[in-house]
Amino acid sequence: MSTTPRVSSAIADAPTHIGTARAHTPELTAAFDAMYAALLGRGIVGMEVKEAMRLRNARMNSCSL
Amino acid sequence: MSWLLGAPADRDAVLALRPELAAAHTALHEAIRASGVPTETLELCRIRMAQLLDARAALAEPTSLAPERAAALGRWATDPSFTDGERACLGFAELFVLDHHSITDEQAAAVVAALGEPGFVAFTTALSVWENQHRFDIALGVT
Repeated sequence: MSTTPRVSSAIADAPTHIGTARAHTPELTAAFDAMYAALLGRGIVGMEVKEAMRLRNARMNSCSL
Repeated sequence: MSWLLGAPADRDAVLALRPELAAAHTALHEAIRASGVPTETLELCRIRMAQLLDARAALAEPTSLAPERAAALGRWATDPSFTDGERACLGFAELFVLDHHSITDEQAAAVVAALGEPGFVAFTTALSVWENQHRFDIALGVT
């Protein structure tokens, strides 16, 4: 597992992190975030359940982000 | 059979249960297609991921791949019809599904060499969307 970024920041003078890396693809990132917002922000499944599932999924995938 | 509708149901029928999600889903897939990553590369990797996950709904859908390309997909590592860039992307896509922590810096660099950095970000986003879609189809019994 890499501990260094595999893509540069798309924003001048900003360090690489998920936000500045995704800035390479603004239109796609906007569409992805809209989907994410539709999943998380609305609907009939409560936020507590969604957040529990999100964290469980991250732990199962060893995602420290 | 879809567990939701009580009968065989395709993805559109299942997504129609939640129109706001369906709209966002459609827009996201359109954004992937418009991302600048070669369509052939995207489709090769989408279908290869479906093969690995046994996502039968995706495998049954029409594909833009030529029949001989689709037939050769399981032997992409050695078949001469695949370019070095396609191989880099297919290898990355396979590990994305099977063992994402084992992806090496060298493999990532090969994808960057093939697609550029914006392409690499778009490609990785596409892989995450497709893996979720394949698992969505399987979990909900989409046909």
